[in-house]
Amino acid sequence: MNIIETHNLTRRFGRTEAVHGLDLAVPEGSVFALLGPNGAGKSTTIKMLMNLIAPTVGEARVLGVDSRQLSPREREQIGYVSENQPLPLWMTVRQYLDYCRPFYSAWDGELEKTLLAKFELPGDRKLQHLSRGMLMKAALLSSLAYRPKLLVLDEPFSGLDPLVRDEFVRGILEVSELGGWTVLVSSHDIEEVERLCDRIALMDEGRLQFAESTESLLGRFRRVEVTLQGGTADLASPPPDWLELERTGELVRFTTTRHEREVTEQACRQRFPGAAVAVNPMTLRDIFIVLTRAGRTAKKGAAA
Amino acid sequence: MNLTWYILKKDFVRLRLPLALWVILMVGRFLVGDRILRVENSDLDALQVTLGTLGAMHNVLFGLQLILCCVLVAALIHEDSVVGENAWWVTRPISGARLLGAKLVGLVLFFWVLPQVVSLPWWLYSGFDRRAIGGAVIQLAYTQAALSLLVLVVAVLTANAARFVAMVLLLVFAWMCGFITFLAHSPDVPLGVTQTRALAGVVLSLAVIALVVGHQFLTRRRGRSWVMFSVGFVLMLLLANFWPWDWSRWALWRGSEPPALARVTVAPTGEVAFTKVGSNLDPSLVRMEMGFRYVNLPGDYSLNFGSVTGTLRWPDGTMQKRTGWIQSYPMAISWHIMGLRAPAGVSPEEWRNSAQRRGDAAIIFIPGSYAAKLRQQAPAWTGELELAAYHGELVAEVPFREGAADGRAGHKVRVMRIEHLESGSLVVNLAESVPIPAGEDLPIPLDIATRRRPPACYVLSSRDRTKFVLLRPYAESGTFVNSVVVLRSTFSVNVGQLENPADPHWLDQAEVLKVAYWSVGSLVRPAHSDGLHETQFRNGHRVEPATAPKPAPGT
Repeated sequence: MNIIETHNLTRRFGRTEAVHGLDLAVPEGSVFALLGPNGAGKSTTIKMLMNLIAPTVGEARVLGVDSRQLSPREREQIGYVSENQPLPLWMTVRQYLDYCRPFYSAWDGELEKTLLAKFELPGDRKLQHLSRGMLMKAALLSSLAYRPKLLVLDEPFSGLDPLVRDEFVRGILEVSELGGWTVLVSSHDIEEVERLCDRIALMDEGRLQFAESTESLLGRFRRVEVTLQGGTADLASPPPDWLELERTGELVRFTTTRHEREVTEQACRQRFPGAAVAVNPMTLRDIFIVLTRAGRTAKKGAAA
Repeated sequence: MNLTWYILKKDFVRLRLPLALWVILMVGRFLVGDRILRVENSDLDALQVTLGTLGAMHNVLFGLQLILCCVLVAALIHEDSVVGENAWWVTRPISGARLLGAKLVGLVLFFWVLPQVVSLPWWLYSGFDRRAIGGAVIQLAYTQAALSLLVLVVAVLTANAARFVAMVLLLVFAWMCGFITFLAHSPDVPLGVTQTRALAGVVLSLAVIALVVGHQFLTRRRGRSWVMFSVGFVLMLLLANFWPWDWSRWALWRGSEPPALARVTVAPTGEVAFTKVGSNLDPSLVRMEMGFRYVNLPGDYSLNFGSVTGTLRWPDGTMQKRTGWIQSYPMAISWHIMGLRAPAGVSPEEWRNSAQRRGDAAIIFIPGSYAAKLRQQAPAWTGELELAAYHGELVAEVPFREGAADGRAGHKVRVMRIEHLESGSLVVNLAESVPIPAGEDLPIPLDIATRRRPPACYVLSSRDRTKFVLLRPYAESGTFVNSVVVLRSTFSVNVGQLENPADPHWLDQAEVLKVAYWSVGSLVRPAHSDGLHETQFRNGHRVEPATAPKPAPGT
């Protein structure tokens, strides 16, 4: 069952189309990352899912309900943390939690205490006096203590220094062990996402590029380095799944997006007879960069 | 309901310090008001300066209080903004309806109930009775509601304080531009139409405010809310300038007139006087004063300020329908006192019923050509007068000596100073706290909320209470402090007509009487005159033309 589904979800701001015809499905129990560069439409998508803004066209269903119709009953099962969300900074951490508590029938006082200790949040300090990392932790705590079915994190790592980011991710990982929630994270922080997520969707310029499991994604992308050793190289009309094909002297490099060991080796033997082929796994970060760059090159080509 | 209170409690905690400051400003105004009533100075000129300073101080506090009130109402809304894409509450199990409920309860408690509670000791201290407190409650609630609802509608359409201030300035500017643009199109509007416009404006404002606020809280679609607000704003401008109908009689509950005035009729005297107006808009316009008398008006009632509609009809069939208003002339000596205060040996009831008929004049603007025509041929006039009715009440009988005080019905009068001038006149300084019946000085003439502050008259009465002399004010310092009018008035009085050679110490036994006039509704009366003739009259009294020398017999 999908906990989030979107159909042709589109949002325009004047003439700018921030999100275009997005069809997305987030399975229940998954940790789903929405990746993309700045301006890709991730936050706009999440705002539409949370009913913070209305879609221009299309619809989104969250917990089986049209996002425009999300009622307090559904809200009790959704946790939302965003870098942009203004918190009541004049409250202390304790006051903030006290204020949130009555709105949730499933608020777990024990979990609140556990998380408070785990996140090392000072209860008597005002939110405005917390560091950015601490503030995000407080927001996370207030969104976790009622054990939501769906946790939505919109750019949660932005502006956090590496140490705090690590703590934050560890915090999410720890709580994810506590219950079977579905997590949707939007970010351009790939390393952190790689540690967290089991499914990934890439957005660029408002469009969904792909959505699949992290395992499958990491499995099908490979960086291939071919050393020609004096042989010939057929670089004309490369297969469409070869991206960023380039030759530097005797060295040819490209990224294949559909790696299968035999298929890749056979294709290399045909185009680069007698060459030495090295196939290297890629990090999510490398894949993200390659795809983003390839998308922009294709766009420039189309424009030219 | 509990969750609504949680939100309310949160808002209270958030706003408690500025709310406390707001209350402190209010209490500060009470203290200044009390000081105005107590300040003494042997030099009356210096006293006026001190009173002026205190009045200015009060006005500063009042201004700050108003600004802070606006800021607080806006802050209450912006605390959980209903504009923008990042509101915290939207992502929590809080519905727009619940939030709206919490904000409205907060609005009522913080800005309507709290000032009443804070003002109650001040009202009691000022000698208010239940009726005066009731009036003050209505007055304060009305003012606070008007202010907070206007702020509310702008606050729900703006995301933060800076945008709120910018929007307020823009709207004030737009309203002024709109009003100035339209002003030239409606130079002469009858009172009833103006009142209807004001009332319709209130109804429309409330509808627009309810619609915009409700829509924004429930849907957060600011674009549509702005469209509603803009349409309402333009409609208000059009209504304020172009509404043509007079529905004031029905809309302002004019139907209920006091039973005591059921027999009152209006009789035109048939006399008119003309004054050239010299209007830029119509140079030929002439002001016509048409005299009339009230018949069967009990002595303790007074009729005042209203509108008149009627038609002049000439024998040749020419007709001219015009509207105007009633000019009430100040009474040379208070008939009212005479109506209220029967001389010794006469029963009050008998005296009341025998009080003299009084008259007023209707002021109607007519083209100059009709005035000329009227001089040649007397037209008949048939019309209808609408009059505000007041009931007089003796609210203070203060012995005429410094420091003496008296009062009832919420009025408190103290003789602060009596100065004997060489000319034989007296200068008297009085300190007074006066209740506003409900809604004095409000822009919207709802009868229920704007029963006018009773016009009052002050009379120095002789011991035997057969002679009265009106105290004429020549300096007055006053201010409104949460429905209490705080007044320091200086009167001059020529006591010559009260002198009694048989009783040289008569002044020690004299009293200052204060009569307040309470609004009790209005009357609508038809009137007819078979023929109007030009005459001269001033201040409601006919001026007999200088007697022309009789022609010598035989010439």
